[in-house]
Amino acid sequence: MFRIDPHPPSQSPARLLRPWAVLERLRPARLVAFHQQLREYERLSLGLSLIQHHFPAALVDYDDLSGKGWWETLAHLANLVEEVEWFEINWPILNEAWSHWMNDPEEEQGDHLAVFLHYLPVTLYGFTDGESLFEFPPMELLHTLLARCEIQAVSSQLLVETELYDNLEQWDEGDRDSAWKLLEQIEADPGRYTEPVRWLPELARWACHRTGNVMLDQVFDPYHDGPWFTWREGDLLQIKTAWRRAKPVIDVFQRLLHWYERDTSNLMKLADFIMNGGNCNELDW
Amino acid sequence: MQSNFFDPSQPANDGSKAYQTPDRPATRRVFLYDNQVFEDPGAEYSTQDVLNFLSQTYPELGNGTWTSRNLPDGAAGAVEEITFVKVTGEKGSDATKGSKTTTDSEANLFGLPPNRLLLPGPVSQPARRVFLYDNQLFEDPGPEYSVQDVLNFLATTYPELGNGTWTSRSLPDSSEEITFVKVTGEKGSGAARHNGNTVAPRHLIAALQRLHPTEIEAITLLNQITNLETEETAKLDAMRLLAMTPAIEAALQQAERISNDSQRIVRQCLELTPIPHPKVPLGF
Repeated sequence: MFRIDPHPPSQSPARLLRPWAVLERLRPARLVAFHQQLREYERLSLGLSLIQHHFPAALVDYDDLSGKGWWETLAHLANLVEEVEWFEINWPILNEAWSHWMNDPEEEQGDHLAVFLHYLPVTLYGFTDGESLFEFPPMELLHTLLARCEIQAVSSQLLVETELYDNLEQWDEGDRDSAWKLLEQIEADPGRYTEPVRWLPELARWACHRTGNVMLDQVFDPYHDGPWFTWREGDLLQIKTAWRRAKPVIDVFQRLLHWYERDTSNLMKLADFIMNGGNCNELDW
Repeated sequence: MQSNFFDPSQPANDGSKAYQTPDRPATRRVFLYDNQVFEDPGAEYSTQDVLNFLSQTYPELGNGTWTSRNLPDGAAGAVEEITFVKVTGEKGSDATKGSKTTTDSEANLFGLPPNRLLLPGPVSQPARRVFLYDNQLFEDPGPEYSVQDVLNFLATTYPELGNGTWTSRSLPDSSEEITFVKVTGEKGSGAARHNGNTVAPRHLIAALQRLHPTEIEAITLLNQITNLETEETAKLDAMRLLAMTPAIEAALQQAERISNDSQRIVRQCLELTPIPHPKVPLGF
């Protein structure tokens, strides 16, 4: 049996529980807190509206939005874009934006990542004149021999592999013009040349940022004006078209790289063809 | 669902860097008066600025106000239609009469036209006024002279009253005792100024008392959405959230406007120079 405590507590339950202690710690809700929370839903609806507009069938995945983050819709959208091959998603940039958020969740609040609810996270394949060209010696060679701009530096690797050295110092505007004429001849009469060589003019233009295709001529730098393309139809069509035209050139570029990597002395054959119009049958990438 | 996802293990470059994206179009304003459309002079001009400008051409807008509504987004982005309305009535009548019909706090200080808020002195004059400064009594020059006029006049004799202000109290004989107070501080400071007029603490207090609570849509909407997420009978699905998008955007805009207005009011209050209270506070 329970026994009744003959010693009732000296303090009232209210004093023991001290509800005012909790109340004293309460602070008024700030408008910014509501704003931030509502903005999450705005971003979610923005992601959903993009999916609804571009991939309406995929909206069935969003029957229940409880616990669904707006970033998940963005990731879903990016995967859908790649599935239908509209363009290549710039995953490193998205990962970087995600990382900004994870490093400072309170302050950053996903603002970098949310930019891609408005703008396409597209991969652009342009070369910068410095570092990124140095990573691809065949493209650096084409740039060095054909670019109209002043060549700031040539990697020692290229000089060694092509054995150009002094020849490069004597290579002037007239020589460049002759080289371009050779490339124009290829385009004018492609039947005389092998299939890989027929791609050489476009590869040369790519190396010199002169294709007229934004995907091949430009690099994407979100910290310096992009370039940014919105999810609107006009921009999307431009990027889809650019990717469709760029894709075959990028495939040939991959073959060219493998050809070079198989035997680095192949670079000399390419240089010889551009500089002297040598035997094109050796260019078999 | 996803074959690829953001990989948080990727190192970040620099969290402090911000993307340089093209400016998104701000809400465009279209001004209407008397069946005429006026172009938006730019975001740097408030609606009150535009009203002041138009009142030069249309004097009847001198005491005017405006209503606003958001139009559906066009190709150029969101559009806010602002219609100016002239306020009929006697000059100097109740300041709250004809105040804006919009419920939220717009670009205006406390939701009242600044020329009303910043009127120097009380609008309705008591029968008799007594002016005090430096233990001296000054006669009332007449109801046609405002307190500010009297202050300006006294400032010619007492230059320290140049940035002065006043406090007032009602005396048992229903007359009003107005005590002028010099405002000390750096030259050029004094009471805060807005549109060239002096804002004294009393004006701010009066304006605050006339404020009406604004319903913050963001809170209401957030409640609705979270209820949908948590209730067993209801469900928040994509279509429902998409249907709420315009309301969410409007609520966010309202919250930003209120936030900006609050910040501006606080800033203006901070610019006010403290003045001594005429009486010792109770319990001091």
